[in-house]
Amino acid sequence: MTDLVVVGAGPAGLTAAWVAASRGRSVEVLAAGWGSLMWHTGTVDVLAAVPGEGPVEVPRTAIGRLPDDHPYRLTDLDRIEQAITGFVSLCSDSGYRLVGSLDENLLLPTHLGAARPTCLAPFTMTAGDLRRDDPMLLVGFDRFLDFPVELAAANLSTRLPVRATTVDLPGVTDRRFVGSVDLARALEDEEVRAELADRVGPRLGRSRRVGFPAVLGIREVAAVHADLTDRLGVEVFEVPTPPPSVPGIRLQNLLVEAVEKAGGSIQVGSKAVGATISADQVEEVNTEAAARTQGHRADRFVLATGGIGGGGLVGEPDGRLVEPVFGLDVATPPVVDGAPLPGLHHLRRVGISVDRSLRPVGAAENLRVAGSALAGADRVAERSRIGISIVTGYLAGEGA
Amino acid sequence: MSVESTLDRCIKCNICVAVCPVSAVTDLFPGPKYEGPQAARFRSRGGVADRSVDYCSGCRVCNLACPTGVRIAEINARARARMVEAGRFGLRTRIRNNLIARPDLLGRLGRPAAPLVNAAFAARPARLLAEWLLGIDHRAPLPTISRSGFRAWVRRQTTRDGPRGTVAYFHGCSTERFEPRVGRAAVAVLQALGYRVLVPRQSCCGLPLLSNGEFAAARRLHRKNVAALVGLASAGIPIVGTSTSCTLTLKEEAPELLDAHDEASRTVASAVYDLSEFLSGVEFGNLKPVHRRILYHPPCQYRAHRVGTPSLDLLRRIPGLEVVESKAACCGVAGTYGYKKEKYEIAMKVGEPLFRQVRESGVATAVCDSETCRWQITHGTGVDSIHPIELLAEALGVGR
Repeated sequence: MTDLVVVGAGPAGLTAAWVAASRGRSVEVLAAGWGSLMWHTGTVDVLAAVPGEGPVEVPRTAIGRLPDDHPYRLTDLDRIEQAITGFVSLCSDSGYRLVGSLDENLLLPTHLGAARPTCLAPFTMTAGDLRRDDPMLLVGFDRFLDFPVELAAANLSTRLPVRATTVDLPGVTDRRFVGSVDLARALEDEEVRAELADRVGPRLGRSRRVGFPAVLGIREVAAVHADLTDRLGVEVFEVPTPPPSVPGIRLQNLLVEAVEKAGGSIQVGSKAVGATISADQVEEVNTEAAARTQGHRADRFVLATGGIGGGGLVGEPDGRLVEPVFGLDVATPPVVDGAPLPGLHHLRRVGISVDRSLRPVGAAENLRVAGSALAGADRVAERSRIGISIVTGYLAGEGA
Repeated sequence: MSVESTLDRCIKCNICVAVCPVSAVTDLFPGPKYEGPQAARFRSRGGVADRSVDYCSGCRVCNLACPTGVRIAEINARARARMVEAGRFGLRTRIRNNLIARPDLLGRLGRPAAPLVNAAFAARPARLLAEWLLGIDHRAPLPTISRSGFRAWVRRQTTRDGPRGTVAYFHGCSTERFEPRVGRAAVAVLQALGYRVLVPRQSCCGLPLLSNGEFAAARRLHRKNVAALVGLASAGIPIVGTSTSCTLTLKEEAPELLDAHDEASRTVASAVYDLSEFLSGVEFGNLKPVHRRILYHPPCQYRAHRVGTPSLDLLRRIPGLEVVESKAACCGVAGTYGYKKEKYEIAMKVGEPLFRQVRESGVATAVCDSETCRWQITHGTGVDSIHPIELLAEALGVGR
C-alpha cells in the first residue's frame, strides 16, 4: 500500500512529496495538470509585509507579528527555517543556487520596472538588486513582448541610472513566435550567446550590470550565466517574465526530478474528483480517467490543491466556497442579502483551517493540508504565497 | 458538455505552449493555446481553421498539462475535421490521408502477396514513387505486412476454459495485419492467468481517420464496433486491448470527437481497458526471471488514458528485468503524422530526445505499448522494439 498520496503538484504538493519520499516513504502525486510553479517568478517570497504594518525588512522577526491563525504561526520559527534551508539545499544540490536568508528581503526589478521584495532568489537574479544604485542596462529581445525594456527603464529610473536597449538575434528573434521558453532554449547554444554578447557589448556604456529577461537557460543555467558574464565582463542578471516563466519551470523541473529520484511517482492530467472516507480515515482518492475514475489508496493523504486560483477551492453560484475533493469546511467571507460583502480582498484569507499538525479541523485523522488551500493569510498583500507553500508542504511531508 | 465549451476555462497561462513538443521544433505550429482555445473563439461563429492546425500531432501532452481542463487536442481535432468538410485539403492530400488512415485496408490488400509487397516497399524506387504520388515520406517506417493474420491463428486455437473469468480481446489493425505476435502473447498471458479469451468481430477503431479529420468514415467504424461489443460489455465482460490508441479511442476519443454519447457507446467505453491497466489488479503466481535490460517509453496515447503507467508497474514485477524509464514526451510519429512528407522531419525532431536517450542508455530493446511508436523508435535508433506483454509472456513461461 502506498504510504502517501499527495493531491496537487504545485510547490506545496511537490515539496511534501519530495520530503516524504526522501525519508523512504512510497509517494504518489496526483495532479489535474501542471500549474503554479510554471507561472511563478521562481523566487521564494517568504514575507514582505505584515497587513496593517509597513514593509518587512527582516522576515525572521516579522513572522511573530502575524495573526495567530496565520499558517506560519502553526509552527515554530526554527521549523520554518528548517524548511527553507532544506529547500535551499535541494536547489544547490541540483546545481541551482538560491541566494538569501530570513534575515533580509532582497529588492528585485519586475519586467515592468516595479520593485519587488523577495526573500530568496536564484543567483542569476541577484545582481539586479535595487538596493544598489550602480547603473544598469536592460536588454530586451526583438519581438519578445514580455519584457518591455523602455517602460521598465523609465519606471526604474526614479531609483537609479537605467538604460534600455533591444537586440535582434537572427535565427532566434525572427522566428514566427518568440517566447520565453524558446529564448531560453536558444541561449543554451554557445554560438547564440556569442552573438548576443557581440551585440550587447558595445552598448554597455557605464553600466556595471546588465539585465536580461529571465531566459538564461532552462537546464544549463549556471553555464549560460557564467558564459555571458565572462563575455560581457559585467554582472549579469535576469528579470522574471509573465508565464511561461522560465525560472518557475526550472524550480518545477528540479522538484519533479527530486520527487522521482527519491522514488515518488507523479501522475499528471489526473484531476481528483472525490474521496472515500470512513470512520475518520481517508481510504482512497478518486481521479478522473478516460471512461472511468481511478482509485488511489494510501495510509496518509495531503491536500495541496491550492486556493481559488488553483482550483482547490471552488465558488458555487450561491456564494459558498467548497473544497471538492474531501468536502472540507471552508471558512467563507460573510454573505449579506445573498451577495458577498464588497471588498474581494476578504476572499484572499479564505481556506481550510487546520491544527498545528496541519490536520483540518474536524476532518479525517490521516489527512493534512498544505499550501494555498490554507486559511488565514493574505498572500497577495503579504507576498507570502510560495513561502507558505514550501514551509507547510515540508511539514506535511515530514509528518507523513 | 462539448469539447469546444471547455475553451472558456483557458486562463492563458501558456503552460500548454511550454510543453508542446511540436511547437518546440517548428514554426509551422504556433502552439496549443493559439490553435486551440484562442482560435476556437473565432471559429465559434462558423469559421474554418487556419491550415496550421493540421500540424497538431494529437499527442495530448497539452491536455494533461492544462491546469484547468481545456480539451485542446480535441478542439484541434474537430477543427481539422471541419477543414476536411469544407474542402480545405487538396485531393492528393485527401487520398493520401485516407489511405494511410486505413491500416486494415492496406494490410488486407497487401496480404495475398505479402512477401512481394514488403520487398517492393523496402526498396527505394517504390518509396520514392509513393512519396511523389501521394506524399508518404520515403524514409518513414512502414511496417511489414504479415502473411498470416492474428485472427487466422485464433481460429486454429481451441477456446480454453477460464476459471478466472472471461475477457474479450480487441486486437486492433496492427496486431491483425502487421504484428500478430503481440496478439498471440496477449492471449497466451490471459490464458495462463486463467481467463477465457474471446476475440469478437471487430473493425478498425478509427483513430487514424479521426486524426485526419475524416469523421464520417470514423463514425461508421465506431458504430460497427459498438454494435459488435455492446453485448459483451453489457454482460460485464471486460474488453481489453494491447494497442493504447485503440483502447483510448473506444474509451474516449471516438465518443468525444464524434459526440457519440448514446448509451451503447458509453456502455462499451466503460468496459474497455488497456491490457496492462486490466492486469494491474491481477495476482500473478511466481514470475520467471527475465534477465534483460530494456527501456520503456509510455506512449502519449497511454498517458491520455490517465491511469498512470500500469505497463511500467507490470514490468517492474518481473524479476531480473532492468527497466530504464523514458523521460521523453513523445516519439514524434503520432500515429499517421510522421508518415507524411510535410511532417516527417518534424516528427523526427520531436522524437530526437527519446532517440538520444535510447542510444545513450545502450539498451538492446525498447518497450512501448503503441505500434507506430515502436516502429518510430526502431527507425530512429536501430534498436528492436516490443510490446510489454511480450515480456510478461516470457516471464510466465508462455513466450515464443
